[in-house]
Amino acid sequence: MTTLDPQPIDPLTDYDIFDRAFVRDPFPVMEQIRESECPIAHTERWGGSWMPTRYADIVAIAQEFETFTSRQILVTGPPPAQVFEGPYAGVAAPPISSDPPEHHWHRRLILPYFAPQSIAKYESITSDWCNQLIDRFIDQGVADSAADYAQQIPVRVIAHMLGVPTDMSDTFTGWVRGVLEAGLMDQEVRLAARKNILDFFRDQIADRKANPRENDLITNLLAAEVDGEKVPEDYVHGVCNLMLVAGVDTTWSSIGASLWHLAQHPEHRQQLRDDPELWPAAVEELLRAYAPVTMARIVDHDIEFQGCPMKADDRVLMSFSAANRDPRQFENPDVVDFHREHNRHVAFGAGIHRCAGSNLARLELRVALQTWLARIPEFELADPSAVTWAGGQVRGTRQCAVTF
Amino acid sequence: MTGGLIAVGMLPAAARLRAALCFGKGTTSMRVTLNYAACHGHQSCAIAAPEVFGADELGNAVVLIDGDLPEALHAKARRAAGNCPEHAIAIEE
Ligand code: HEM
Ligand code: SF4
Repeated sequence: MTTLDPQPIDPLTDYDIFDRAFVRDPFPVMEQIRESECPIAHTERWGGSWMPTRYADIVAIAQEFETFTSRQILVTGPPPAQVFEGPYAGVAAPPISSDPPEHHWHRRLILPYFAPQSIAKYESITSDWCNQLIDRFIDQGVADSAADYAQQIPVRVIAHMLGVPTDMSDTFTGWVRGVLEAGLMDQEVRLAARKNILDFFRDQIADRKANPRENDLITNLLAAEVDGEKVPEDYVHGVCNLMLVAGVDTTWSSIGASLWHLAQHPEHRQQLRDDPELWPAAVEELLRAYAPVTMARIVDHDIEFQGCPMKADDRVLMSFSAANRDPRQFENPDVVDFHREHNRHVAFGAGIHRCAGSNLARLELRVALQTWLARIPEFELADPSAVTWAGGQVRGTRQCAVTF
Repeated sequence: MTGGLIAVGMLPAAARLRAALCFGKGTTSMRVTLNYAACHGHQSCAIAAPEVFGADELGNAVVLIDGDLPEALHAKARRAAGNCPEHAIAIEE
């Protein structure tokens, strides 16, 4: 039991999504798989999975929801039947964990809260928070752009949106990382974090029932009706669960990776200063290049997909970052180009589960980067080799010191 | 006139060019159509061409300009179509 696994792993048959080199820089491995005879790799590790790497295959899987179901969307873990055992067995994470036909109303009820015109009101409070965070470190000439900045922003925005205390942000962050980071390698950690989240929202729901609030998302969802009937409380509980889990790690990882990029590319900072109209396209391009999220699907029935013999209950990973670096879809995919003409990136997925929070995520990403660049126009990585990344379900920087 | 233009939109490309020339419009006319069933609200279209695309209350796309687009918006509209991950936007030129 003392050996250190001296064999180099073959990514085509034995990839490891938590391998340190892969987490740090997954793109060479993805390219190796993508350009091989079999662009859909397979592994037995972490419960087993398939990993397609071409844009067309990943988009097709996202579109074919009848074959590739959302019974389980985490990239590791027990088979689908065991997922919701234990406390709160009826509480899932709608709409991300829902399949049609329920998915339709599970998603329909929350979409209005995320439309561009609904989320615009969060811009000024987001920029206030960004400025306060920068106030804390701007005089020091050095800061951890991941832990002291990126990580701090989305959790406050989501807490604000849900009407729960924003000063609990560190606690929420710990829970979310328990589900999406440490918990992916240790089911006990994941279940404990899940229980903390659901205990917390059980109490919040009880509070809203006793003291309904005006213009409050939880209050409104509790009162929502579908076909003349009040929606089940488990649904509302599950939506709260998802909003915390889906809205925090993802956006923060994206802000963090973008700052890591900008720290190394003064010419891109200059382009944004010279031409502020470039911002929307720049945000899309950063999302493309550093798409943080990998989702899973569970195969419904035995099927041969692109020559791969997939069995019912197999797990298939949709690495949207692999899709976004496919040269069949994007010219010079590894080059970040704010002037890219066609950018059908799928950082937010595709098809019926396309990220409901994408307009909010873009707003947060833009405001976080604009505020940073306005106050800290010139900065660089303190030590490129000291930067740490998380990966697996959500890839982004976790420690990334910069000097200015 | 409007009926004529819609009919033009349904002709094959070569016939459409001929028809457009007959109408004396040259090659400068452009209109966009949205396949609402395919749209999943990425809003990439509104980011590329905010003058042409907006959002409904669910965040799905709506076309803001009925009929021919002003020439100044043609490039943006093409970009919008080329940025839609769901291929939900068609451009008729
Ligand atoms: C840069 C940040 C973000 C990225 C890259 C991202 C990515 C994604 C992806 C790839 C999906 C598709 C899941 C699937 O196909 O199974 C998704 C779904 C979802 N996301 Fe995001 N997300 C981000 C931020 C947010 C935020 C801020 C929220 C707000 C709470 C949010 C809420 C959701 C919801 C509710 C769904 C489920 C939609 C459905 O299943 O119909 N996301 N996200
Ligand atoms: S980019 Fe495409 S899918 Fe997205 S809102 Fe526009 S038309 Fe709809």
